Amino acid sequence: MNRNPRMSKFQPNPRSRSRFQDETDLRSLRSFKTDFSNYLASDTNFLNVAEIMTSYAYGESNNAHEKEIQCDLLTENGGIEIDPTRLSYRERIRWHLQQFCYKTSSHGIPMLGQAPNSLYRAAWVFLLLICAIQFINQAVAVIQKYQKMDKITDIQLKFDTAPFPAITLCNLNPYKDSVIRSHDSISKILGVFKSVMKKAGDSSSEALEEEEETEYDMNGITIQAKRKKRGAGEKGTFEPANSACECDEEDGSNECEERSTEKPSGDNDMCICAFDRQTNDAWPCHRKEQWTNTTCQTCDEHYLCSKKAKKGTKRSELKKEPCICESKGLFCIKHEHAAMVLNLWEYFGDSEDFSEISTEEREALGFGNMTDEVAIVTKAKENIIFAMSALSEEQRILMSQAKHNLIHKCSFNGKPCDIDQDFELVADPTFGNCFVFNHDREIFKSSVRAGPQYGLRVMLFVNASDYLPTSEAVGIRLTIHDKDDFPFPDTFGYSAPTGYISSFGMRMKKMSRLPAPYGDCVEDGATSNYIYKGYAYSTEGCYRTCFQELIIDRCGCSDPRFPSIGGVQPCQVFNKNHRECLEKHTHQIGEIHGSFKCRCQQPCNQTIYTTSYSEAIWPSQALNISLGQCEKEAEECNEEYKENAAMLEVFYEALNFEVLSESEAYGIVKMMADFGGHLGLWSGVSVMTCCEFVCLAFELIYMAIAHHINQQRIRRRENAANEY
Amino acid sequence: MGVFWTGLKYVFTDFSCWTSTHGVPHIGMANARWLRAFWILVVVVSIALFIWQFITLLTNYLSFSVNTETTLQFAERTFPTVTICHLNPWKLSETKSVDPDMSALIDAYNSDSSSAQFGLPASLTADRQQQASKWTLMYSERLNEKQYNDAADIAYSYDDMVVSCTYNAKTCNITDFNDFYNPSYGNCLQFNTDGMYSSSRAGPLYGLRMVMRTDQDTYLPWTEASGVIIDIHMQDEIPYPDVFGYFAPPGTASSLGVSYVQTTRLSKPYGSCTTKTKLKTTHYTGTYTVEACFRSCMQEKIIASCGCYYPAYSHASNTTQYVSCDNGVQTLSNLNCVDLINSADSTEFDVLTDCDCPQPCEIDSYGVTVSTAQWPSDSYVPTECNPGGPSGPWDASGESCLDWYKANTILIEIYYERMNFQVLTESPAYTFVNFISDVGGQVGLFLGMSIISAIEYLVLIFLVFFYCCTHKSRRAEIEQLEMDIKKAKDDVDQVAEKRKKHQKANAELYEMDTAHDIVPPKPHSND
Repeated sequence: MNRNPRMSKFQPNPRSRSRFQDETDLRSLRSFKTDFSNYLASDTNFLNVAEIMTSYAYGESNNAHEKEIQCDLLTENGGIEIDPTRLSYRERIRWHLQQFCYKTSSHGIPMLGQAPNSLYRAAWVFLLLICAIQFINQAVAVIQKYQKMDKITDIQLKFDTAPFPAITLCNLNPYKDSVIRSHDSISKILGVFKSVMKKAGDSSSEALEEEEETEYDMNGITIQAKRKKRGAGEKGTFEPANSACECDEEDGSNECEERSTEKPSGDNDMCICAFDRQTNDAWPCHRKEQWTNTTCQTCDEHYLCSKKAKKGTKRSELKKEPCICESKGLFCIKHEHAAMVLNLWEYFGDSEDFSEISTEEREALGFGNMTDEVAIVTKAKENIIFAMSALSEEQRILMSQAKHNLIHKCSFNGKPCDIDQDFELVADPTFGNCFVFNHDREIFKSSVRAGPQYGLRVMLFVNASDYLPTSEAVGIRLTIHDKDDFPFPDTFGYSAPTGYISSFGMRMKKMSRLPAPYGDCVEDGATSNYIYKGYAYSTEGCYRTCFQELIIDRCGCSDPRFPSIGGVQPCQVFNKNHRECLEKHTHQIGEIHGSFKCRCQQPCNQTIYTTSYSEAIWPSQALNISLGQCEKEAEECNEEYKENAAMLEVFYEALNFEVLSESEAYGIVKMMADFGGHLGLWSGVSVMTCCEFVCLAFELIYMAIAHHINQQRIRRRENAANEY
Repeated sequence: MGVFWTGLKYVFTDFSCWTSTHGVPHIGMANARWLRAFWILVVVVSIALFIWQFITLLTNYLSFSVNTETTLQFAERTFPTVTICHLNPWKLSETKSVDPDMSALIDAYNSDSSSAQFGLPASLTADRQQQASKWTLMYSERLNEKQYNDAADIAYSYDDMVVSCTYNAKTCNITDFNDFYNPSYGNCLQFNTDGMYSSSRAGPLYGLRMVMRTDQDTYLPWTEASGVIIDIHMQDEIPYPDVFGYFAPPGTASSLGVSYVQTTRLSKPYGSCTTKTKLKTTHYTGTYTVEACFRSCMQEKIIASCGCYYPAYSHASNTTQYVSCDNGVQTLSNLNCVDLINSADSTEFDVLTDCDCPQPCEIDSYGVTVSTAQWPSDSYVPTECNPGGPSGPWDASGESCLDWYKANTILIEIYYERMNFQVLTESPAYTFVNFISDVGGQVGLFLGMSIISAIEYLVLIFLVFFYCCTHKSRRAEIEQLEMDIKKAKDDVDQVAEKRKKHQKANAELYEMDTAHDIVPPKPHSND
């Protein structure tokens, strides 16, 4: 609307030609030139444009006469048009501001300039203020939303050939019992372990005996009854025991005489006796060949059994108890076939072990006054880890189970796998030798379909007869991890029992996180002091690195459960100061506030495998097959493999895998879009409108400076005139 | 031609006066050349910035990203269908007496020598067991036909498997179960196939509890594990326990806790899943699952390569067009041909690239947690083991009833772990409305334009077009107009000259006033 009056009042009608001769026409011509020079680029533009617009789009304006009057108001002295250079300073500023009001592309300000009175102007100022305040509020909210650095987690389900992870298999027994005892420190630890376990077992029975003695002193009549009961229980329970014996072959009785405290020098001097812990009696004794493992139908409370029950015994009372019998079948003892046979020379010869170990060494082992068998076993395992750390890695590998002894059968994707090439040895402090399937990072293995027949199937033989006395459980430890990750079988592994086929169905998840400033994760290869060289960063590895650094800094030796740093020697098993320092600081780190000293974030890229487990009995009774290297009959082979072997299946439950990736929720592009939207909504302002304001500012500054300089010049002339 | 371009310039200059686009009026109204150049630069830079932002927004829109919404709902749910199969598919003695080929296979397997008829290696190795299992799959269709048509008792029925059964603390019986044939495991039992049972509470007491028998004396000699396998799935799905099943061993109480997850995904262009719920091919008609699609695709490949269909996969019932791979003397070569395609390491056939089997968009899945305990305990006496109870297989084997129970029975519990279930729903992260809003914001920020401004440009195009059509007929008019303007300009020049004279006279007047203001010289004093 503010542009129409300029064009309509100068429309060149045919009648207007005659008006140029009059004085009034000259006045209009002067106004025309002045406005033209200020608004349009060319002197001749206006008439033509007005002519064209009149012919095409516009009719004659109704307010032409009024506009001319308004134009006359802008003239001075009635005869001269407005010349900005002749105006005073203040009037010139007002003129410029007025022109800016007409020209600006910001919404609302032209209305302010065209307001007819102060009431309209006040209303428009009020509206402009409201819009400005609303815009500022929205702009602050937009900027705050951008500065929060929010993330969006996108869950995608991809259907692709998922890469098969690395599978680490460990025996639950770290070292062979037949090999490890040759080392002096191990035999010391096992000797102390045995005596402490015996003491823990005896302490419970001593308490009962003390109670009986007290009653003996108090009451005379009851003494007789108690004593009679104890006499009846003098036999106790029988168990088979190995012993050194002297056999007289000239006699026809085939019985031997035991020498309990002596150690047998060979098989010829050894026999098996029925032993009673209560009375320490070992009788009868026969050579090893004359005892046979079998099943008995009945046993009494003293573990004395007979092969066949008496006539007339109820059928429900008949049982099939495992027992060991003399060859003629006259004397039988209840005995689990897989249990270890007691050695009498160890039972009676504990004093020999005591003399070999000094008091300080015993205290360093940390058994103290422990009476709980589970705690004693745990402490003994820890001592073995410390003792084995003194050996070299080659010696430790030789003492643990070899590859072909553990892994008997293996198939992947329905095809047999090469045990030598596909499995790599990794020595673990807790589990000894572990073997990693699919360790090679260059070779890509994948399951083409879901299901057990397209995964890894492996048969493992653990050889339970060669287990250490500190191994509580029989079975396999299995860890599923990425190829670049260290397995950590003691933390992330699963145990699988023998005598079962264990089915591990897994699903894969890929996580992709955003680093700073959005999140707090560690980029690939970001940490330089990682103690597991050649492996990717993980949170568990970071914590272990932090603990190891702390232990080395405070104790002067490294924790043997983790890799060492800078060639520092591991803490010694018999060094009391080392053990106490390690124990103290481990407890400190393990407290609630201890873990805050370690700053361990998640890795930015991570692959997680979730596992579901189910099992079935293996091998079945009907499986008439000679598994592995067993050369006996089928039934005996099945029995042996139930006790010593485990079958494992590791496969993908579903071939699709989840990909969780983080992305920024509110980027800078969206922020600028929202900012522009609010600018356009509340004030119709754009970047070029800001440029207009910048131009206006520059123009006013220029005028102010010019005016100031002019004032100084005038003042200088006045001073010169005064001096003159 | 000069008149035409002059007129065109007038049109554009006039447009710059009345357009609502920011910046363009300043180009038209600039009264200095440097000011016009400045505004042109500002407009060009703003347009460049807008184009950059627009490309970024367009890229973001065309990536079709999705948001996943996770909610937790609580409702009474239908109990899932439970399919329980024996790990041994066929009974040993009954199968031997019914089928002569199966009897020959069992005899060949039990002898320690190699068999050219069945391709069994000489030594007792795992390969021998695998080959026997493959032959069992090949013979599965004919054994199934004998089971149902000839009423031969070679598979495990309800009475063979189930000792007792309760659901929701009430007794269930044979009418609640359906028979389901699976090539790998023979006859399976299915519970709640029609969805009649639902759970309103969580926990083992309100689920399915079964005591089942696994008589290992009836096992085939190449069945390596004992127990049952359990598949939990939706009512309208065909179960595949050989792929998705869970083991349960005898001598244990196996507890399967079920949790339900419902997933809804978006199809193209956001994702690559399929919206069809039914799969209809030559050999399979039913609910669409990826495994069913794979097997149908592989069956097509087997028929194309081997000339016969694989009995272990579903196939068309038209027997004249297709023949079974189990056909007498050619079965061994057919088995090798099928094995070549079934093998995962085969170079001839890749199931992922050759089969078009995308994921379905609607997935209802059950997560299962398995835990076990010893069954039965030492102090528990089953009903059958009471004195005076019925006679059973323990009488024949000579062991006690409790020992037989430990070795051959399973307690199975299947229940909902919790009644709330997870619902995952995908929605578009950046819709077309968001795209339009963001583009509008960028346009408003850099150019101050709107839809009305776009219409203004359309009007400009129309004006230019109209001027081009009529500029010839208006040539004389424009020339006359120019002459009038020139004449007016001369008049203006005359007025300007007059004004200059006036200014000159005024200036002289100012100079005279200045002369009068000069201070007179000081007078000299007479000493």
